[in-house]
Amino acid sequence: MGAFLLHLLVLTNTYVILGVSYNLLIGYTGLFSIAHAAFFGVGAYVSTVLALKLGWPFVVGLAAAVLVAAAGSGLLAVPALRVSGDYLVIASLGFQVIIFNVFMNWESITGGPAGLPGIPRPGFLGWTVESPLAYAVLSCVMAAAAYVFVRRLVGSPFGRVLRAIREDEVVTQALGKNVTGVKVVVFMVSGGVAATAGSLFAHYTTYINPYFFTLEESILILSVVIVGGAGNLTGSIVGAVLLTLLPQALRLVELPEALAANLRQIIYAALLAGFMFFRPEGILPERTLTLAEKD
Amino acid sequence: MESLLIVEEVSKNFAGIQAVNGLSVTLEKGRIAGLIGPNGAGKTTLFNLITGFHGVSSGRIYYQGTDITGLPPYRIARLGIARSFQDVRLYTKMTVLENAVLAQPKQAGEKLRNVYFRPGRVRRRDREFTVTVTPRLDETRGVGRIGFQPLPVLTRVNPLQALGLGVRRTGEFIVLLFGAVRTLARDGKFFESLGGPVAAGNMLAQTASTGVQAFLNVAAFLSVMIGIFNLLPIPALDGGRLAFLLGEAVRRRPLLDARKEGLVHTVGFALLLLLLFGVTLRDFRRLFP
Repeated sequence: MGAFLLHLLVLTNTYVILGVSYNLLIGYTGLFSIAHAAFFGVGAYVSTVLALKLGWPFVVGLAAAVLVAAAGSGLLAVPALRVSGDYLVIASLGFQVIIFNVFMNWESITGGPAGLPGIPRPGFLGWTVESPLAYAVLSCVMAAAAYVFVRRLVGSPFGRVLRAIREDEVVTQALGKNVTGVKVVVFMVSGGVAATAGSLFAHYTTYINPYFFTLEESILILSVVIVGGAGNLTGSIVGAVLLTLLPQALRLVELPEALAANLRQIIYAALLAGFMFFRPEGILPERTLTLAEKD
Repeated sequence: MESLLIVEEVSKNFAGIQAVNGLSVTLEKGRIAGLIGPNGAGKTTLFNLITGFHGVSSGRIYYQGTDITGLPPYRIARLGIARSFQDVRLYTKMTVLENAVLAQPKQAGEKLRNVYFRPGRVRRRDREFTVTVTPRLDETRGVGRIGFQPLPVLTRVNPLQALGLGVRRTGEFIVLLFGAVRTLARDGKFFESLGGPVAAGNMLAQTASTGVQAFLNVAAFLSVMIGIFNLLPIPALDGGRLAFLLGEAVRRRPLLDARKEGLVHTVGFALLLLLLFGVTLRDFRRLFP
């Protein structure tokens, strides 16, 4: 049981990292991208391939994963930001599908649909993070680092510009802010942080395949942010905890396995739709001003 | 005169609609110029062309001698061309301070490398305010009004100072009272705005709900009011009696004999009671329509 709780903790921390980084995009900047699982996957694959094929240590692989995902994210951002609003959703959706297909079909590197087994546990200077407890601690450290990193960003004048862009892009340009440049940067940061979750996840499960990084996964990350509260980082933690525990709660209600998987998808969809209707600001809403009532 | 902005043969075509056609303008330094024209003349389009929000179809724009044609809006803004919009576009979910700071150019903290690697350059938590600010947006007049609401500062004073302040406040009340009466009389609203004891009680009850201070303030004001009216030369009130005494002092003998003076006071008192009765009746009618 203890090991199971630690397993849940690692999973939760993975979603905390994903949620916090995704919140940067949709919560703070108002960029509706739906390709977060792709960056999660890029992080996982880069880290895995470097560890398996080149025997690089975890930390170096992690750094490389961040760099590659950030570059990929920038690659998505530059053409995608020529369009905005609904079109960005479609452009990022395309990116998500492309990345998934790369994972599926670049068999010499990614192992195709069969995936990559035997990923080593992370090692630091000869010490390997093996036990569930040690891994849970590592995941906590990484999640905390991601949280602090993003918190620092959103609390800075740069974060203020992000919120300004979300509120009124045109005025923000008129005030001399390089809106496109800022968007590219925030895309890269968000993708880079998501890659750390990928690295953490891959070295934890020791096996990855493309189906971990599908559109459904992107929607799950979206749910974490929406349910928790867009524009509120603590909300993303709450969302991550809730959405990691929810399937476990569903497991208590004993259902046939085939039914349970489908039911889970339905419940996620219902949850997302329900929040959109009844509490679009999420469990922990963003703390903002409300304009005084006109008299 | 130095030419600050030169618009040269600029045209703008929106999918076949000619919004601006071969327009040339030169703006000189230190002069204020206006652009007028009917709806749809292309005024806004011209401003959008100058500030880079629209690309020109043809022509060139120079600012301080540099060609700014085709530059993105933020570059043009950084060169020093500021613009407003037809409707007020505030960041309504952000604080007044944030709205103001966003308009400041060259914020070090807006560069990510400064945020993480040169944190000393980024000012944080730099807000020291002693006023409450209530931003209100007046959309009909298109004014982004900022209402400054002074926060009352409570200071402790010694009893002697308190007495002095009380005297001053009473003086202010008296001036205020006569001012109000004069305004009401001038506007012919004196009688309709009269209120009796019920209205006064109602007013006290209302202010009591806003706080002890407001309540005490209104109570003191009513007190001063009663005191002042009591001193007015109205029969039956102390002021009336005082008037007779004053007359006696001047003439060195009573104005009227005691019985007649008593009658004057009685009649005055009756009239006052009548007024009180009428006003109270109206108070009730106002409170319970």
